[in-house]
Amino acid sequence: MGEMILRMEGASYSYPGASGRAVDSIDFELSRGEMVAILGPNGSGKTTLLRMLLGIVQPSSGSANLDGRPASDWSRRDLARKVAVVTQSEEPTFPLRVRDAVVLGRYPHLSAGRRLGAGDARAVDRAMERVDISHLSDRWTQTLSGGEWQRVRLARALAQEPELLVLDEPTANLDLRHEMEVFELASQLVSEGMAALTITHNVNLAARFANRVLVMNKAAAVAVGPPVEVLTADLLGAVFGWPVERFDWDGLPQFIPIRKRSRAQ
Amino acid sequence: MIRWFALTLLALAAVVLGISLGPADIPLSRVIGSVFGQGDDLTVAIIRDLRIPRSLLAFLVGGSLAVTGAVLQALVRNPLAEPYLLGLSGGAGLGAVAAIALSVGGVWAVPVAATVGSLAAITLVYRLAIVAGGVLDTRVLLFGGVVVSAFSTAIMGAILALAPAAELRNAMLWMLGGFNRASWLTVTVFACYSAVPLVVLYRAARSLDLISLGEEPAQYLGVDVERLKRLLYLMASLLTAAAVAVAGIIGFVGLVVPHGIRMIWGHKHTSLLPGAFLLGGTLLVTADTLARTVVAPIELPVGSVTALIGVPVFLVLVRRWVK
Repeated sequence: MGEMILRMEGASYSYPGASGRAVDSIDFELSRGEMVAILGPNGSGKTTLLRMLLGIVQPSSGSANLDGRPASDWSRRDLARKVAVVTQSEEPTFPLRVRDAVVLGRYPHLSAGRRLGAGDARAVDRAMERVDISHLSDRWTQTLSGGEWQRVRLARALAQEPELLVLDEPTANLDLRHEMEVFELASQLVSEGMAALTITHNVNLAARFANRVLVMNKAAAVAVGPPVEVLTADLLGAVFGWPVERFDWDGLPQFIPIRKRSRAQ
Repeated sequence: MIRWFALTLLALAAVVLGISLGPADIPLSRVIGSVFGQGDDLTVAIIRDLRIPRSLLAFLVGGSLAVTGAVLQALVRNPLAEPYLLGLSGGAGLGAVAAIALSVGGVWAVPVAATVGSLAAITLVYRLAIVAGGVLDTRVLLFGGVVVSAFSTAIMGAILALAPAAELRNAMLWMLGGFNRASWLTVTVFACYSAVPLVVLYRAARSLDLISLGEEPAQYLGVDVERLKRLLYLMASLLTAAAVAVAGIIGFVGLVVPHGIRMIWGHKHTSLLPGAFLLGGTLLVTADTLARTVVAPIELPVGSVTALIGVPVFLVLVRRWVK
């Protein structure tokens, strides 16, 4: 495992005017060459945690550091050279050609007024090849399917050539094949030394691809560690409020939700 | 390259036509002579002191309004945004009328008062349109723009009713708008006033590409969104104010022109902004030429001409975008 990139110590956050904490005293770290999946029900504080790590909000107490410096101290530009984010959703208001959309990922590397160089073009081509969208290059973004658009955004993130890739429910719009491809790609990038952090509702893929999982419930971290150690039927049943059964496959825990009534014969 | 050439040619043609055509019938050969000071004094005066500054001013104002429209559209991520529809022009108009009615002196009084007015208007409209969760609701934004415009018009009316006779006349003349008071002085004032915002907006072209994606993605791609928004709204207000100060309230240029460029060239701001400037200038010079010549010697308000073109385009766009 490589050098540490993210570190949170006792990080908490409350939204202004809200009574409770959206994120409650989380300790967490992430190194290069490691993929961590954040699991938890809707509203458990996952996205707020991410926003803290990305310097969008400042912890009300505790710290959230990126490479040893508070995340909120980084200029957006410096941060964007290090961290790329694929958000849950993004509506294209004004259509662009796919390649032009991916080129936007080079923005943090360009100084004002400088044109795109050969190195930038190479990074864009490489990113498009990696997510298999080279053939879409001249299409307008508004004509893409949900899955294609999601992959364009992933390519844009890769064009940033980040050290940390953050994926917020990256596969919500994707079919089985493209979902697997995104996780395979992320794990390939991680083996090349990138750090990856993903929020996902797919517990089984998290268990198979992530080196560690962080399970959140009601603003707090209820478990952190390798999937095989921390993911249990009791824990997930309690966190998601639905009974699940664990079976092991390929040495890793997998879960299926149990039906409350047995199937009618 | 060809499209820039075509657009520039179109712009030049519009300016030349604007200088050639008018109530006083002057053949083109004498127009050219007059530009270089040859011919009778009256013709030279009409060409050099009236028509050339007038066409130049209309061009600069049209270009500035179109650029402002394109920038506002990126900022609020909606192709219906425009200085007139968002109330910036109304706010600027109110500021200008107040300055004239109170007879605040100096060449700069009206532009500065107009700037304050348009800044106040955009602040108000923008705050109003931020609904729960910090999301910008476009329908509330347009609604707010209409309300601020109506409010500005009402207050302008009240100020006029209370103003002393001399100031009333000045303010009325100003409110009619158009370019009939164009002079080399107004061209100079406008050029000085608009140069900085135009340059700043062009330099922000790449950031505008990103902010069109949404504020959150733009942040993650390295844009300091809050700082950029403040800067761009300020520059948009300055440009609108400059336009309103010299030409009154002219609507729809900022809507129609960027839409045209977007349709033909796409949405990249490095080409959208200069394209909008050229086409906006062309459109407003042409509208002004029409306003002067269609029912000459009576002059139509140039805002009526742009509205005749703009309102149908607006209606088509509304149907397409506000689903």
